[in-house]
Amino acid sequence: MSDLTSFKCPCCGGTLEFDSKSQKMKCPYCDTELDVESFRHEQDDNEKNLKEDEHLLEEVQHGGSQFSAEENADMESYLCQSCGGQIVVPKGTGAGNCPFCGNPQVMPANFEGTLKPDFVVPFKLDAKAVKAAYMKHLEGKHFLPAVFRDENHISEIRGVYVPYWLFDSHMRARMVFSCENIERYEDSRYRYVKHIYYDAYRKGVLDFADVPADGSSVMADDLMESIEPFNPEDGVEYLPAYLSGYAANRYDVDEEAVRPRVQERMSRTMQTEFEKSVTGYDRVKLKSSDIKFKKISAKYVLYPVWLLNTTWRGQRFTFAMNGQTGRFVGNLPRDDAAYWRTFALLTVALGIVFSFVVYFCMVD
Amino acid sequence: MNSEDLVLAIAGGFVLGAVVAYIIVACMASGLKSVKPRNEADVYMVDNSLNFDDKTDIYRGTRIERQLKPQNDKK
Repeated sequence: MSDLTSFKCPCCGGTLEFDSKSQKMKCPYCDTELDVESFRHEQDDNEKNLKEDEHLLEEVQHGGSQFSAEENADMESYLCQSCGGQIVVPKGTGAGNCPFCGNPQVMPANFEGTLKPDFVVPFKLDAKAVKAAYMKHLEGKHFLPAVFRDENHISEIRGVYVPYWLFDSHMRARMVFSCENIERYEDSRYRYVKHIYYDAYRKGVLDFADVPADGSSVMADDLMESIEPFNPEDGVEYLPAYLSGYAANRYDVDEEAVRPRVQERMSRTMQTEFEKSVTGYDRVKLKSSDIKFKKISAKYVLYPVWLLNTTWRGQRFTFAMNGQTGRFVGNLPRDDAAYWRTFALLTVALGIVFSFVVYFCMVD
Repeated sequence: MNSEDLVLAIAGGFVLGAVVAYIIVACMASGLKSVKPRNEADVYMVDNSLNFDDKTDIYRGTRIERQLKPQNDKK
């Protein structure tokens, strides 16, 4: 069993949470605010205690039947520092709330050694901002079921630190574009179309910085790409205190696995940029392309994401908000009855109008 | 104008109306979808890092298509 870390208020003993507004640790009971940096020494102490406890645990005999290796492979158990309850969580969980007392807990062991993020971008927006963004997201949407406008329909709002890989690269490419200009003219007998062909050669370099790819198999890739971009310049050194009050997972999709997707995006952009330099032609088409990644490196970071879940007719809908910029996305259900009703009404109305138009055209 | 032409006009008008109506409702419903993959990485380009060593355009040839004008073409 591993240890949890919870950050206690020095005034009242309540569990502190990271406050996105003040960017400090705040006690929800007495409103005491403390700098995140002041918890650095706690992190060092915890790491030390963790190693000592691991040594002691080797000699402890537990009652009850043992979990099989397969069962243990997918879960981890912790003791809550506030109430002493045993918490069993999926492996890789880095932070969350105790199901018994509700206090925020951080599992620092999941972000140690090679798993330690290079930096973390703290939450800038709170749960109130998520609700406001959600309501705004629903505005002006045609064919949206009316029940979705009811705020009480939201089943869950969670702030999650999502593990991301950020890639820097230096790329070199050589591309050839087939180009064509078209001229039209005529004389007394003929019409002429003149096609003038060129090949445009482009060779050059392009750099990318901090191209993200989420390192969590739980998060839908398209959902995470939809809330981009994040601004890594707001990143701070990783401290467990930043995770307090939020959920967090360590990566379970490694850098190698996400690299092809990132390279695909960078290559496509490079092609677009090269194509933009081919000007003065009526038609431009890529003929050949040779892109090489001369240098590519990755960083492991935690980005703040708000997730909001809601259900409608047994179907689950997940929305995501960038916890730094407030960009909100999520597919909404369609009210099929309203959709087809509108289609039928428009067809009849436009059909009558077009019938008159066609009729008078035929008469003329 | 006989009744067959009238039926044809109504049928044609309604087919056209259905097509236009479908385009309108599809556009109205498109606002419900906001999750889509980002296939480009343009926002992550390093400023002024795009540099070309070679930018050459080479002429490859010309092809002319000729079409006889219709007899009654006044031009």
